[in-house]
Order: sequence, then C-alpha cells, then structure tokens
Amino acid sequence: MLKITELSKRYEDGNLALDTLSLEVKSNEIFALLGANGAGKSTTINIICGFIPPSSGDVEIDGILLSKEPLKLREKLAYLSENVMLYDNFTGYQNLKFFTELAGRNLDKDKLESTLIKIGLQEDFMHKTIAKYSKGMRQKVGIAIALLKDTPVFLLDEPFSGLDPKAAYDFQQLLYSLRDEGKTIFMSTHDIFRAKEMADTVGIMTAGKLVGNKTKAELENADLNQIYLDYIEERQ
Amino acid sequence: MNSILFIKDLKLILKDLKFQIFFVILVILFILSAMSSSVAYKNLSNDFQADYKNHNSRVHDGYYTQMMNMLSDTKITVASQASPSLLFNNYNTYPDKISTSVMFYEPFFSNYNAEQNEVFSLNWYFIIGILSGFIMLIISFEAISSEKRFGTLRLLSIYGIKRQSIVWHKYLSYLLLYLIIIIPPALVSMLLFFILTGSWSMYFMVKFVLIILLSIPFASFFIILGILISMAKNYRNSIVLIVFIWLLFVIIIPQSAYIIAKQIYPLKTNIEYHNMKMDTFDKEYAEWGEKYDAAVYGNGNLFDGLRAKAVYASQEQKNIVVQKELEDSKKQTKLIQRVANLSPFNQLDEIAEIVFDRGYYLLQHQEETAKQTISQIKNLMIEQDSRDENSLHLYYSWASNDQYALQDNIVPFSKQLFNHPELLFVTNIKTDNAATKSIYILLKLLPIIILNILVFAIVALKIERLDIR
Repeated sequence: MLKITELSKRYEDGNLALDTLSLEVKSNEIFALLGANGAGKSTTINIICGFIPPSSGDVEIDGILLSKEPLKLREKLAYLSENVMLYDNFTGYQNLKFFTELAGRNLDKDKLESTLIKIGLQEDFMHKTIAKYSKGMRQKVGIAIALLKDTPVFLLDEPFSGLDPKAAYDFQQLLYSLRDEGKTIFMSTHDIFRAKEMADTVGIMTAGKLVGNKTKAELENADLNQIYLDYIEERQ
Repeated sequence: MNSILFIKDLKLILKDLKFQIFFVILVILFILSAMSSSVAYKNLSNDFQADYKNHNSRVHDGYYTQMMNMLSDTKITVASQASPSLLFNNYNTYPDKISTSVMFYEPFFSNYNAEQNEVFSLNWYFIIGILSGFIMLIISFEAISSEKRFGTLRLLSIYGIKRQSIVWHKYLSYLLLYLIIIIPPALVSMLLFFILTGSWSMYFMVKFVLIILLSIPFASFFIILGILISMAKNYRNSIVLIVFIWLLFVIIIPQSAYIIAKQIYPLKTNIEYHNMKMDTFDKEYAEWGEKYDAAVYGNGNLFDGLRAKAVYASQEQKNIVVQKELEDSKKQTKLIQRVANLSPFNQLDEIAEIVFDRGYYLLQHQEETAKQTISQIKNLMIEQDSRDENSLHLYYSWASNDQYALQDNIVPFSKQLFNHPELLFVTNIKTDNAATKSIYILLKLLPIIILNILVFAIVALKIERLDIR
C-alpha cells in the first residue's frame, strides 16, 4: 500500500510545485495520476523515489516512512520512467542482469532471457548494446528490470510512451496481472483514455494540487475528458 | 563494498572507446620508451666501461702515480654504472655521471634542473606521471555526468544505493583501472628493456613496483578531481575545467615557479660572474706580487715554486666566487622546485628522484661525495708536501699550466709517488638509507594526501546536493 500525506514541494525559486497532496493507493489497485505538463505529477514521483526532498509531508509504503527510512522505502519500489534509464554500453541482457543482481536476486541466464522475451524484446537484440535500441525496445528492457525487482509498489512515469500498439497492449495486460498478484501500481499519465481504461482510481492534478479523485465505477459512464477539462477550467 | 556496482563500473570503462584508445597509446609509448632507453643505456654503459677501463689501465701503468699527470690531465670522476633507472630519466643527458676536478668543482647544475632542461623527451616519468594523470582525469570526468545523462543515477538510488556509495565504487574501479593501464604495459616495457640490453636488475624491479605504488595517491587525486568535475552543471564546463587544470599543473605552475624564482633570487650574467672571478683572482695575485716584491710576475725568479703557490692561492679565492655562483644557483633552483611542487606532477617527479637516486637528489650526494674526496686528496697532498720540503704536490696543477711557473732545470719538484690513485675514481655514491628516504618520501606525499582528502570531502558534500531529477 502506498500512502501520501500532506506532501508539498516548494522550489528554491519560490515555485510551489506540489501543494499538500494526500492520497492512498491500495494493493490490487492501479492508480492513474492525470494532469497536464507541470501539474506536479513528476514532482510527486520524484519525491516518492527520493530524487528530491519534500518541503513537507511524508510517504509511506507498507508501514515504512520516507522521512524515517528513505533507503528501505526505495527498496519497496520499482520505477519506470518515460525515458528509460539504462547503460548504453551494456546490452539489454547485461542491463537486466546488473539491476536484478543489485536487487539481491541471482537469476540464471534462462530466466533473464525468458523475461525479456516475455515483455516482447526481439531475441536477436537481447545481446546488442542499448545504444542500438529504439525507444520502445529500451522501454521493454526497463519494464523487465522493474518486473524482476519484484517489489510491492510500481511507480510508472508515462509508461506507455514509445511503445508500439502491440507492446502497449501486452504491457497493459502485464500490469493487470501484477495488480491481480497484489501489487500497487501508481502511474502518471496525460493519456486520458488509457487512464480511464486501466485505472481503478484516477486522480486529476493541476497546479500541484489533487483536484479530483474518481473511481472506475464513477467513471464508467462519464466522459473523463470533459471532467478533466472542467477541473482545469475551474482552477483557472 | 558492493561488488556488483564495482564490477559494473569496471566493465563500463573497459568497454569505453576512450579508455581503449588511451590504453593502446600507453602500450605504444611504454614500448617506445623501452626501445629508446635501451639504446641510451648501451651508449652510457659503453662510455662508463671505457672510462673505467681507461682509469684502471692508468692505475696499472702507474700513470696516476705521477703528480704532474694526475693533476694536470685527469679529473676526478664520480660515476655510477648506467642503470635501468635510465627509463625514468631524460636519456639524452648523462644523469648518472658527473665529472669534476680537484680544483674546479663545478657540477653541471643545469643538467640536473628539470625546469632548466628544455628538452621534452619521452620517459617513464612523463608516461606515469603526466600522461596517466591526464588519462585518469579524462576517464573520470564523465563518471557522474554520464550516469546522470543516462538517468541511471536515479535508477541506482531506487535500488537503495547511497549516492556516496556510487562515488566510492566509481573511485575504486578507476583506481584499479589505473593499475591495469600502467602495470602490464610497464612490465612489458621493462622486460623488453632487459631483453634488448641483456641486463637484469631485481633491485630496480623492486623500485619499479615501489614507484607504481607511490604514484597511486597522485592517480587517486586526478580520479577524484575528475569525479568532482563530472558533477559540473554541463559538459562544456567540465571540458573547460579539464583543460584549465591540465594547463595549470603542466604549464602555468612550473613556468610561474621559474619566473618567481628568477625575480626573488636573480642570478648575475655569465659575464658578470666571470668578471667577479677574474677580479678576485687578480686581486689576490697582485697581493702576492706586492708581498714578494713582484717576484711572481713575468718570467722572473720562481724560487721554490712561489709562482705556483700564488696561482693556487688566487685560484682558491676565485673558487669562493665559484661557490657563491653555485649557491645562488642552488637557491634559485630550490625555490623553483618549491613553487613547482604545487603541481602534483612535480611532486611525483621528486619522489621518483629519491626512489631512483637521480636528478637533484643524487646531485646533492654526488657533490658531497666529491667534496669529501677532494678534501681527502688535499690532506694527503699536504701531508706528503710536509714530509718533503721540495714537494709542490698541491700547487703543481696550476704551476704546470703556466709556462713561466715551472722550469724543469730550476724547480725542485718531488718525484715522490702519489700513494692513493684509487681515490680519483669514485664509483660508489652513498645515498640515504631506506628509513631516511622513507621519511623524505612521506613528507613529499603529505601535500597530495591532504589534497585527496580535501577533494574527497568536497565530492561527498556535492554529491548529496546534486540535482538528479
């Protein structure tokens, strides 16, 4: 379970990027944070991951607080960003092996290779350096890394960006199965349709504030696009 | 220590094209160094063998036993066998050899002053000191910026890796890398040198290992400096910093040292020193003339070698000026070295001088050895002269150069033999023992160790504040 309490971030230049954000994402749940560029989605993820310190507030995962045990909290997280972060001089396989070992898991070659195949990476690219990969291929390796970290919480920052329709569909199915396994999935997106289709709860952010929180049931017959636009106009 | 992180950093660098190119360059340079050094070694060795043979034959023939020949034609030579330490020297000079005479002890000071020696040549000091320092700077200056660019710095932090731990592992892997790029090519170079020259020296091999170990704090400094630079805001700033540091340590500091020392301890011109020497000589000579009613002048009466004694006494006065010139030069050189030592490259060079008994360090010992020998010979001469009232051992070399000073028919010169020809060729230079050397080396290591700690502290602070978004 991921719990965010009164989280705020004011940068040195005075800009309030996040304003007392509070939300809770349970196990077996996909939460989509929807918002325009600069709404505060990435700031939220950056704080949870520990890339930047919060000005106030806290984050909790399975009883572990960011303010108390930041390193332990990060071990509970798998993170996938829009621009997947990998070592260009390593192959996809080597990247996966390194990060898996770093997570304390010693998996054999077959398991690592089968994971890459499972997420749709072409076999003949597996042992080529990342520098030769397309954005979508990098994204797939990133997904494999996140999967094999085997954590209770997944933080996904625009995870569908760069994926072809088939890969996006496969990844979507993968996220469903992770949710069904009891994982907590928190993703930021500005893809309204994907958010509505996938998420159990959709949070709408604008100007650093969470202005709306809709469950799947509430959105079933509603026009999320219109709701989103209404919220934004209201704030303006 | 996290071996996974360490191996990752090592693998990444080994795969880096920059590193591969530098490694090939180092291998080529080390091999070239061995080849050219072996040629120089052979030449030096041949020269030494010839000198030694000549000396021995003269002793054997009784050549030295004639005072006249000894003092007029032969110089005391302080020499040591050419050694593999040549690899660390400018092989186009005669670093291990110094010639002097009893009366004129003027070591070739400029040959031992790296700052005054303008010949830029390939040697191990250059490869290990300057080049590898620069290579480590170039390799490490992207350490953090590349992780930031790839975004992996963020990913690593998600795995609970502390930022300082990331820096520490990078530092250790680069340090190991330094040994990888230095030791194998240097070993190949050494073996090649031994094969080409047909020589072998275990003593030198031990020193070789020692100098590699002593170079570690210097490599460490450039690595951690590179890591600090890699945290600069952008790539352009990093490049500018690298170029500036390189210029600072290799050109600006050494050149400034030379300029500052020249201002603080200016030397007179050669002509001024020459005039001072001649004036001193003439003044003393004139005093002798006045004292003995001008008897020493012209081709007149030279009873009892008075003229030889006058020339000798004047020369002794002139030698005081020579010593003054030498002292001035030493002061200037010392200051040059002190200022130049602000550059780590110079610090390593001085340590290499102590380890391999070369350069300015060796010169000081040679000077001391030569002085002792000269003093011994003088005492023996005085002793022999005192036993024979006609003897002019001590003054004869000067007298023999003056066509008016000695005339065979009137000068009563002792035909006694000089009993200690072995003193005229010194082959063993006594240098400091290992304990004294260790203290010197530790003192010279202190600045670089302090610099390491300082830069480490800055890096530790800066990495925690680094914006990795």
